[in-house]
Amino acid sequence: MARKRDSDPEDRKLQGEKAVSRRDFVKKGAAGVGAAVLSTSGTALAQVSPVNAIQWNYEADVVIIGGGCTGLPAAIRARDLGASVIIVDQNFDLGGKMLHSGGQVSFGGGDPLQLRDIAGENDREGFVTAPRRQSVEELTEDPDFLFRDHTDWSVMDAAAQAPYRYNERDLHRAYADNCSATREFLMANYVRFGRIFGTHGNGGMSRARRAVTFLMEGATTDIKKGTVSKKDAGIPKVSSSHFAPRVMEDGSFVASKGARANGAALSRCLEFAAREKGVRFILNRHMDEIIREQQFSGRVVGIRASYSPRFAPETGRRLESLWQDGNVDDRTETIYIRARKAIIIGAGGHGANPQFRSMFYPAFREPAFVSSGWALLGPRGQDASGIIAGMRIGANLAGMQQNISYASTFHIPGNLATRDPYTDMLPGHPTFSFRGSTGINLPDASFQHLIVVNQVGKRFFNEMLITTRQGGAAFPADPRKGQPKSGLDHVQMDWRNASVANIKATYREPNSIHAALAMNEGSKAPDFFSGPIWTIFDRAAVERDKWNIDPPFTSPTNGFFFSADTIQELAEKIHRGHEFQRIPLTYLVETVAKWNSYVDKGSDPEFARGPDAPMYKIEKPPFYAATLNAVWHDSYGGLRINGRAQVIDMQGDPIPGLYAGGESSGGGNQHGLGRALVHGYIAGTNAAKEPGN
Amino acid sequence: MAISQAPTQPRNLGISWDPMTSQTEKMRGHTMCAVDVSPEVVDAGADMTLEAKVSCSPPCDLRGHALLVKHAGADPRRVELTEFDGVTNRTGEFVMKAPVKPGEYAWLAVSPAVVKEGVSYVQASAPISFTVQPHTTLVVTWDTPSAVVIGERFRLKVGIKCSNQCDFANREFGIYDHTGAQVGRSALSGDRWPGTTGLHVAEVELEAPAREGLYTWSVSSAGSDAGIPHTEGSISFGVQVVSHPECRVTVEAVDKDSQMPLSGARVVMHPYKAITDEHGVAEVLVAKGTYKLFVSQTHYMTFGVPVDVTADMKTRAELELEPVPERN
Repeated sequence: MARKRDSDPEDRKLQGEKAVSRRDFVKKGAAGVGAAVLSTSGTALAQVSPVNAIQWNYEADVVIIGGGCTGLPAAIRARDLGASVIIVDQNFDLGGKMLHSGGQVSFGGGDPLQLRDIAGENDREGFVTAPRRQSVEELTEDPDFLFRDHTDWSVMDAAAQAPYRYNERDLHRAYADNCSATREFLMANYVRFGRIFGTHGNGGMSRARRAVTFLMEGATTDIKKGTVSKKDAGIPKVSSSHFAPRVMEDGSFVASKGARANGAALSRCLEFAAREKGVRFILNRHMDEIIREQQFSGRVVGIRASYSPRFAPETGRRLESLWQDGNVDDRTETIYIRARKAIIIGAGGHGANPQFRSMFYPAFREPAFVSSGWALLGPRGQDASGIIAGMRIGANLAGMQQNISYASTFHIPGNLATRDPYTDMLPGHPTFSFRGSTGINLPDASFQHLIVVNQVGKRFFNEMLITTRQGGAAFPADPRKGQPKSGLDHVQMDWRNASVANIKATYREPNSIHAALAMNEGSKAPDFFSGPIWTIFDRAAVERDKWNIDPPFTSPTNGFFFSADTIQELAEKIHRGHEFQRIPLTYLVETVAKWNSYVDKGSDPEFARGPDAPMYKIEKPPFYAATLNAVWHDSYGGLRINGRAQVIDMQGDPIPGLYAGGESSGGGNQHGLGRALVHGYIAGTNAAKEPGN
Repeated sequence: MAISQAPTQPRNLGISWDPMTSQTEKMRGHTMCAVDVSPEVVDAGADMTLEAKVSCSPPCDLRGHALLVKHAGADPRRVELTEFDGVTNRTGEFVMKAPVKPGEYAWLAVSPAVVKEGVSYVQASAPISFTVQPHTTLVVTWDTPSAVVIGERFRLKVGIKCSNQCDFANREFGIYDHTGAQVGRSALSGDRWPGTTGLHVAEVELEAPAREGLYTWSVSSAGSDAGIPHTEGSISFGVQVVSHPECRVTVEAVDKDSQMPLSGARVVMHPYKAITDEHGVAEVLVAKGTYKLFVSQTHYMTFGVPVDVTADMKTRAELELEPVPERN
């Protein structure tokens, strides 16, 4: 008898936990799983550690929460300036989301790469020999120009959202002023960037600023030499590696033949530099509380953190980091770490905390839908704990509405049959077994071969538009990105950009995600969970469009892919076998019959399929169902920080000794790595200069 | 009529308390018993999974104590409690065969009186309620042509299976047209369709009606009461009847960048379909009229253009590769 997710609030604290119901929890007793549940951030709010009574287990000048895109550069920078540094991370390895990212980093303002490309120069190592991809004019700017781009009130994107107008001025002035130094700093710490091409989402409309990080394929992985082995870089459609959870892509178009590019090339190089420079790491360690002299006054003095190991499902063995230099392996349940100078919160965002994200979108409390990197980061990744710990000691928040202003904050990736659809991880990374399947990654056109239904088995949208999403508003400007003028013709702060006439002419948001999250006949109070989304297709679709539906792309056991001889049996299998399918798919048989009748007629009166692509019957056995999961990819609202990356309290004053950056901070709608890297650089610089306790 | 050995109670929540004992009678305890049944509606003669739970006041570890499951006819089945979590004793899941005759059933689980650690626990019982249904006959049709010319013969495949995997070789079925008249009959072969667990298959040939139009026909296989009961199974399918095609539309599909031919591309002019050959060419025979011509190929964006067909014509479709979604 399958145990289902029910609506017990205890179940929803950790979106990534397996579906253990409250009943099972009680049945199993308070040990084991219970200990993990009780050490989540939810309970941190209730606890205040009395400062004078604390026995500190460790201490360092700078304590950093999270070894990702904010924490690693902050740690290296603070070490460069002479501070001792401890990083704690809830996961077993470093890198956070940066490790599975595309490695696209937008800076600008006349940064060293823009200058390199303008001058037509190659890199010192001779890896970057590809021709310049942007004109001199497209690369020429200064920090003032970048700052104006990042605070341009007039830009409206193709979803009629304003990505720049709400950006915190102080923060983005500091960003513009530190882009060049951060690019230089990263390149001095083994990070290799290719040619600049375009700009990353919400990184500005007017100039090209994006470069991707790469390593060169070589016999061995050698960060100093800039090489990555074929195995570590990953083999497309076959295997990922511990080094790179997603296969590194061909970077020849921005560097030279043999370049392999993505976020692993950034993350592993920064990690290598941090380990080489003597940063200490306490992994498997979740920060539960930031301790301040008094709850709402005084300096921050340290943190309380609990043991948060992850175990391989097959062997029961604890997962270990790729590299170990500098690791402190402490398995004590609770430890206290004193920060002599400063604490930096780089704990990521709130995309995996259904309660927190429901502030922005109540329908997204549905726990079936996870944040990107769910398997990689585990149940405590992106759990908002950095933000919550800051709130608990009086921090203000910023940019809370800015989640809504970026196209991929929440969306439906076209990757079927996996719970973690954003990350196309293959076997080879230690966390693959948590997901069990890579997913069937389909381009939009392939959706002509299937239908998509909700938890009661009814279609809800034109399938050809379900995975369509707007790109972020960024250079080059274009009417498809909501701008009346293209490329360099874009005019900053021009009222015409936001005119009603322009918005009417450029609006192209399909809104399918909202239809997917809608209440339906199976949604029940108080949460009205929309339930999972299912693609339904037949053998003919698989043969016609040549899909690989075998493992590792699907799993016969993870509950995200089913096959059956008939549609009726398919519906029963889904209901029995998927943990978030709380009710039967009552209408599935009728829906498929109706769809087949629409195909006969050549038109779809319900959702207007037909004009965009041919329609095909779903009739040839066996029949298949695969999930189409929505994902909360990244998040923007978070702790308010100033231009020095100091966390600001409700009175507008910095909390002494406390810094934050990346997705733990708010006030900026810029997507991706650039924001977090600059915050980390600024925070590390200022934290090291703190007077100390 | 099915047997009934206990008053009907709400499904799965069957709870029966023995008479309350007095607070002063320290040596007597009471017992609560419940049984989960899955599925609650079960195919005739199929397996059911059950799990019984017994909790006591005061709490008591009853592992080793046996429950009796009283069912139709035969001797009661003994099932031991094997798990105790400090509150509830459980049997763990066990399997029993459902009766063959359809209907509503209520078996009884009895926890006999027992003395444990000086406390006397009185007998408790709980009904086990479920419904037995005939096996469902499931019918599928496929490879139906998208268009059939008036009066011509066409073929389609029929697959039929039992919800409980009964062998359906030689089972008969009929094909009925839009008026309900039988237009064909056949029997299933012994072959099972590849990739399926129990779908017996047959191929049938039929004749299209003499007038164009979209007709709804059906396949039906009668139910049976002999032996294991089975329901009737049926499914409807569309028959698109068209007049004799008058025009030949020649479509050449190429990659827009390389101008290389695309073989195996799908050409659709509803309801007509064709596939391009190794030269990227397909010929579609259509009636005169207005169509949306689609050419689609894996990894390419679908090419679509309206065409007005008045005579034989040639057209060229240049397909663009679909960009890989950006992951960042």
